Amino acid sequence: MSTTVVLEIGTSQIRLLAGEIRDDGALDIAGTFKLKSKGIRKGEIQDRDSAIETLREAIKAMEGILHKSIHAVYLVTSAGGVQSTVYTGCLNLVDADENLPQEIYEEDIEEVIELARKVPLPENRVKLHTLQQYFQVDDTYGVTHPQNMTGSELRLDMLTIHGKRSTVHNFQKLVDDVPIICTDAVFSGLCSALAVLPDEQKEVSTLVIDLGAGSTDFVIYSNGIVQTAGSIPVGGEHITNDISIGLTISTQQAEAVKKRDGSALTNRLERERTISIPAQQAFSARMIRALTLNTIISARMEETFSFVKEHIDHDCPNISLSGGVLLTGGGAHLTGIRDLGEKIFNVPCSLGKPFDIHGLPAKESLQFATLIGCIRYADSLKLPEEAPSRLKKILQFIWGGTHE
Amino acid sequence: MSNQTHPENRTSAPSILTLGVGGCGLRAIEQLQKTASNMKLEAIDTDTKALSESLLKDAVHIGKEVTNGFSAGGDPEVGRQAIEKDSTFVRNLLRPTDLLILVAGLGGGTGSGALPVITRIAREANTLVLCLVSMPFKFEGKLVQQKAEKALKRLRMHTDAIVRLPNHQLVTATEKNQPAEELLIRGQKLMGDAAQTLTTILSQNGIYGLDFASLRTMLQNCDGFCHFASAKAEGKDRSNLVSYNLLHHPLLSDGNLIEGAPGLIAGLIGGPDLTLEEIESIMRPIHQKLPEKTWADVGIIIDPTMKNKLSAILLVAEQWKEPLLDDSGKKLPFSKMRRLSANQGELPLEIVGKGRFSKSEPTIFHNQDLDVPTYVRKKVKLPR
Repeated sequence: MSTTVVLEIGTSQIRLLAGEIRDDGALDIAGTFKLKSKGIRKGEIQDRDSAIETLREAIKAMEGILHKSIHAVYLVTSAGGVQSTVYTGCLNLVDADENLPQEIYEEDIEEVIELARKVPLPENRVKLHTLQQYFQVDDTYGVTHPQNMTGSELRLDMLTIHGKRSTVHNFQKLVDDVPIICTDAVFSGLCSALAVLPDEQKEVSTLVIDLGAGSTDFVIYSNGIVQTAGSIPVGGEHITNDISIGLTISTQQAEAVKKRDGSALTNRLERERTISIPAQQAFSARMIRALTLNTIISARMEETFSFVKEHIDHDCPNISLSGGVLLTGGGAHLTGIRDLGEKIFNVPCSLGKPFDIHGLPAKESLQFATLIGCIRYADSLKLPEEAPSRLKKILQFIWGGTHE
Repeated sequence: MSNQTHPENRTSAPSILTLGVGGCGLRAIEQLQKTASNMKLEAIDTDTKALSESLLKDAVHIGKEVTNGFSAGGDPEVGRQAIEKDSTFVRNLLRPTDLLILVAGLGGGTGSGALPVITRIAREANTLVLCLVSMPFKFEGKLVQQKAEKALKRLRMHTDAIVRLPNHQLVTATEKNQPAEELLIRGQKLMGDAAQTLTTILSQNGIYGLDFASLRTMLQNCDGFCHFASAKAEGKDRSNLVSYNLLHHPLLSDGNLIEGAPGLIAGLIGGPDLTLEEIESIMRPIHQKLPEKTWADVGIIIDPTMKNKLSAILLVAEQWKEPLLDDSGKKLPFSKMRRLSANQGELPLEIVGKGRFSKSEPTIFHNQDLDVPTYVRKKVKLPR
């Protein structure tokens, strides 16, 4: 099987990862590359020229690492307010002549899957994934394999994860214009979950939150299937911006102080502790109170977590998160964020770590968690990679991709 | 329906709930129930044995699944789990409450573990929280002391004010040879008294104002810790006795804490025969000790049953700082108004500090522009 290349164009970084799933299920990583991204803000393209320039630079560097050209990538996206909705497909099995319940055959299952997939979405939304949930045979809920059962009606719940059409298309077009083929766009929250959740933990209810720079994505796995997914358009960039407004310091100073001294919890006993902020260009050096800084961060993070909680309370009110909460993404490294998570969700909260990885140090694998999950996703589809078309080959020749 | 259309026309007194938590809290509430009939009382504990022996009929058992009806066994973690499992009950309890007075003993399991959780829920419900906690005796050992201190730290996160009653300070050296029973439960009695007096002062219309808002100012500004003293006397010389007892109260370290206190609330409850001279003779020596800048408020209540009797309380702040939450623009959190406040959210018209996001399309989510810092939208005052 050939190596899969996955690409993430994030608000803070462009990341690339190439790897393949071995027969024993472990992931062999062939190479990784990351570059500070430009022209992306809040998960949307702001300056297309610099975005495509950095993307080309990153692809070129990755090709150098892999010693071969890249012609197709999976694109990880969290852009455009990803949401999930459950649609139900319904198939009548009763024979018109006999009026008797019928046995369910493979074709019936395929047909109901097709029906559940073909749901109408609003014009401005684009379908990212359709994830099969439970079948229902007459009054029996929660059926996983209905084949050879007998019933008069077969229903299937399908969780559809969808994003904003224009945003997803813009990113796909950005990749197309590099030019490389964008095989599929994958929701980053789902990828993070696939990266950090072993099969056993997918069975118990676990919430995975990806705290990115531009958005906060989340997925709940329970009984081995995705129960709900969503995205809050708030990320680390917002915290930095809050700090820079609240303390009247530059964005770079805010970013640095957030990483070094920021905490998601306020400690009222630490009323007197101060932090010094070194001077930077036009901004002079300052002393600020730790309490001020942490009040700003805590307010933002508490709100973000509350949005997630509201969403899951609304979508799956019957799920108690017995598997706890796993945090991934840059925000997961913020001091006190796990304690805040425990406070809001009332269950243990820990750092999600990718597992079964070869060829990448554990510390780095944290940063590439989403991409690792995406490779697992690509493997689960087992789509044969498209061979590059003639036109692409010519274009590639012009752009100077190295050939095998 | 007419109520809903004219919420401002209706009067509603602030509702005050006194909640005892754990064994100590339970007994304090028991003591209270004997004397106070007009208060809203509730008690929760993990120990079914204590509950069944209790005189309280409606005390609630928490953590059935966690402890199987035994006590928390001195483990705060067990106490915490017990209340987390039954948090819905607490939430329902707090919904119509404006001021929650929590009564508990720290150092054990249920009190130390459950109290921080309850205060957190109360904070979420926008309820004002006053904690009356007794600190363990010295003979209970260092570990219990440490547990109590730790619980105190966690309590501070969400409590408006904590009043600590160090048990060993309540017993003077001369009393140590007296029977232990009365001395050991003195702390519980004191907590009960405090809760009762506060409820009486706030719920009855005083002839001289001390209202819910004054108490709120006091609790929100006292930066966490308050001190409390109460005194009762009857007979001819009652005012002098009360005055002396307040000024030499062991919980105010023999009255030293009044000197230089930045904030103080005094409440007097007397019968119809209360004279101005009596009021002055109590307040004069207190005011003499206070610095000029002190924020002080006095409330006087006339209770027909208190003829020939006088009781007084003092709440003394240790520090005076601006509250961290700026809600000066809000109305008083009267419970009924809170329930009616499900209005449609509004976006602010002026563009307030969006920093580098000011040029991009606003991120509207749940009727709010998330690009505006949360602390601005939620009106959290930044400590400078």
